[in-house]
Amino acid sequence: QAEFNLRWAHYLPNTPFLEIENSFAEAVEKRTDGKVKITGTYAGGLGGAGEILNLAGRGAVDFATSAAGYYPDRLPVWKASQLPFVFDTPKQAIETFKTLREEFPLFDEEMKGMGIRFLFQQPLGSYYFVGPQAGCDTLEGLAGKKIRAFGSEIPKIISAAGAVAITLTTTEMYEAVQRGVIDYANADVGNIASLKLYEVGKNICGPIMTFSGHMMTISERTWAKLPEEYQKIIMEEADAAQQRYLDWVDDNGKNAIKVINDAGIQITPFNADEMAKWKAATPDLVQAWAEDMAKRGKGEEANKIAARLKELAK
Amino acid sequence: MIQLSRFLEKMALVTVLVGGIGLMLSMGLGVADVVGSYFNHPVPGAYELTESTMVLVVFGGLTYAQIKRKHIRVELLYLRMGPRVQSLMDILADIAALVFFGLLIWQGWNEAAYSIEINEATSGLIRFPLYPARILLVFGSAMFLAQMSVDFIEDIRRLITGEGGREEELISEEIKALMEEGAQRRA
Amino acid sequence: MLDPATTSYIVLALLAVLLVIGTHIGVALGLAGILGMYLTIGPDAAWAQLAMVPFATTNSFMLAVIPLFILMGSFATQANLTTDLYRTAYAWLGRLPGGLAIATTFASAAFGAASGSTVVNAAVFTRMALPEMTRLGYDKRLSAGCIAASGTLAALIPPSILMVIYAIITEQSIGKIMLAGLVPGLLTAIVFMGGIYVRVKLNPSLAPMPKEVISWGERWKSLYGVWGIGVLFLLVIGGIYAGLFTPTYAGAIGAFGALLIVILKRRLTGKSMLEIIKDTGITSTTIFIIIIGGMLFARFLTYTGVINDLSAYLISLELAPYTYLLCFIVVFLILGMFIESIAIMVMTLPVMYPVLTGVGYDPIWLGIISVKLAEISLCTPPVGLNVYVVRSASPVPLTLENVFSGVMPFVVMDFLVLAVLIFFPQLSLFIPNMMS
Ligand code: NA
Ligand code: NA
Repeated sequence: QAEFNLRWAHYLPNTPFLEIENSFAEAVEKRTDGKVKITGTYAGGLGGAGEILNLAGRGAVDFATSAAGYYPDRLPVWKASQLPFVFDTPKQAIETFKTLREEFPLFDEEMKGMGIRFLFQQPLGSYYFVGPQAGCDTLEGLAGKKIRAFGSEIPKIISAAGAVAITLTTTEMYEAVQRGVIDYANADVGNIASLKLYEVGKNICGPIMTFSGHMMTISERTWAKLPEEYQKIIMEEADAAQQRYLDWVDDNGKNAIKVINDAGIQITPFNADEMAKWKAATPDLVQAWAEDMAKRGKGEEANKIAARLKELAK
Repeated sequence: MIQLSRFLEKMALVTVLVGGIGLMLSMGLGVADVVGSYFNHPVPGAYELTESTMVLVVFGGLTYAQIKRKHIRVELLYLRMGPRVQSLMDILADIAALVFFGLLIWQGWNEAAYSIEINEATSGLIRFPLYPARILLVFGSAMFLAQMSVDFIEDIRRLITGEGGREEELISEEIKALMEEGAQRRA
Repeated sequence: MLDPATTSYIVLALLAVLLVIGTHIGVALGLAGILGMYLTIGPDAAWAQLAMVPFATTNSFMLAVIPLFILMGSFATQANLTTDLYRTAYAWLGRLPGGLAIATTFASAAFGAASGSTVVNAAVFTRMALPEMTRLGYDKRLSAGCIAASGTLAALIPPSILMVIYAIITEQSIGKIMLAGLVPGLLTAIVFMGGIYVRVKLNPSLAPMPKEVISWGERWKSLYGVWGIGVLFLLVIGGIYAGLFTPTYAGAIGAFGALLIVILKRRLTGKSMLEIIKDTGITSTTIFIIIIGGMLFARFLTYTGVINDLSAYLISLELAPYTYLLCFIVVFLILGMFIESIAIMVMTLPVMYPVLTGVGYDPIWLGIISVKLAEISLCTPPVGLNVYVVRSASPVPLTLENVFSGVMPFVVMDFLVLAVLIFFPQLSLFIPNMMS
């Protein structure tokens, strides 16, 4: 008999992509002998991507999974984990923020302000360009091309490449490439495989960039209600899930690349010299983030975080 | 009372018109974005402005729709009832709407206040402030609440006098002639 | 906290009472949903959801196509596109038994190519065709029922608000689903027209024959009247497939195209613009309030997990695929008696969609079946949005029962079409398959 029936709201549909998160919920149930039962509601059934962290903070759900990018003013500190052109690998992105969280209380304080607590973060696979024309491996090839963008930072790097940023949702990409609304889709390798983007774009270039994905969080209200032993189990399992995710992201990336290769498509690596030129032409996004934080009255600590972030990501 | 309801009608008309103009604007922005993208110059902010405009369209039109009694409801039983029962049903329905929108305003206001506090904006290339739309939601709902209160008092008056529910629209002479012609043809 | 089962009874009873006394449907659904969440989960959940849902539902780019499709329909009407269409249809079909009703169905189907909203279609043709049919002495149940039912064709014939919503929930391609609806929509229109013909043939008193005679010259000349709708259709659907814009922009492009036609036909006046703005505002707000209330009610049902439990139970039975489909149809239609179609999709699809696609049903085809079920639900009592609209837009006195009893024969025909679509999936799928 369950002592705590906890509700977990996820913004994505339940696919094999959520394997690690589902196994976290199962492990917690198992280690508490079913005293803690976690029921997942996927695909935004209890609230959309931009709602559920608020809902968790207000006690409407117990666990919530969404990305920091949907909360630019509620989680501005965490936004740093989704900056492009900072990290080389997904693993590095996750590990850097693990360290930053330990060294700077600002991260946890910000979540606490929202009424939630961080559990673990999903590492997104690297991003690639996918389109029907060759040439996505150099700046010259990208110049004037329409490339899919999202959020506030991706348009900046696309403009820096001399290309045109077109904002599209994940689901719109396939058709947009097929019909020529955009020249190149811009997606992480897992999505390129699962959305079958390689069917409409035989030219794939990258990796272009990488950063962290969505976060698993627990409501502070729920947390306060749980006895210490269950809290301990949840934290241990969260750490284990974070570790599994780091192993998973490599395999997932490799599997996705295999799917693409099996379709007879080779990925063209982005020219290293060109990448260096591109990054040089892009404004310092970490610095821009710190400046934005300064406007929010947290400039001093943000500068320290920015310095440490650059050091760790080197 | 009459002054309040006249004032409300004017305000309701203004907000429904402003919403309509906003809708035209977002139509224009959409077209500009499509054409601009074609020539490699998408319109930044088209997406965000359209979203906020929808709040204006929906919550701006709320009160006007109520004044014109256009909100959709079940009348199957209502139309078979006597005048006093109709008024009673109207009063209960008014109370339900007052409660719902009262709660909605309370929660909407909290959200709007917090949105102002943190300077909430969208996450696109242009950071488009969200609090105007949140305030509009509260403002439109508050106007609707005021209108429902006017209706509530009117329905109580009707309960006392036994006038029954709001009158159906009168049939014009034109429609009457049309119906008579039809009846003749059938015969 | 109360257990979900007890709460469900209380909430359903409250919903029934609120609906019966004539509360706005959106208010009834929203209030019932909040009470449900309050009782099962607690005040925190109820208030937090009430804080999130209204804003999140309206502040949405995806749903912005709804007011824009409505605007497009209003412009098309102002440009006289509907009247022209109706004239053309009448010139060619008017001499058939029940010719005016057949022409109305035909014109409504064709207008469906420019309008994405069943409500808009029903309102437009109620104002335009109902007085004509009344003048000719048509049975008012036949005329009102035909308008309510053929108004739903706007949901299957692209563009379509319901298809956009299905595509968003299931993360399918909006463009593919829209293409898939074309043949089923036309099939429904043909079945409706055939049904009217047969009924009037059997019982001529339903629809007296008009005295006017239309010459062949006039018929050919009337064809000129359909260019406007043709242009709009090409602009919206053609633009999507030529890669000029994404389907989410179809509303803005379509409305703009219709506006250009109004200007070209010199029918734009300040007064008409004012009426269009008012009309679009009123229709949008009444639809969105129902969506908001429906969303709150759907969140309550999701919290209780009833649909989840039900489907988990169904999956555990390991039934044959068609049994799942049957369950989906039955659940949809039962909910469809009381709840607005968009809310039903939001409630049932996250649960039933993975089950049905899991047993092998095609996601695009399932979209067409869902839209067909939604069309039926729009006409079934006690809550039938299209029936309400005909009733409230009618210049001729009508009772809700007139319209409900008039629409019933069309619901029967709808079931016939549903069966055909289930047994011949290719009818829905061959066009989208051909295009990709
Ligand atoms: Na349509
Ligand atoms: Na119904």
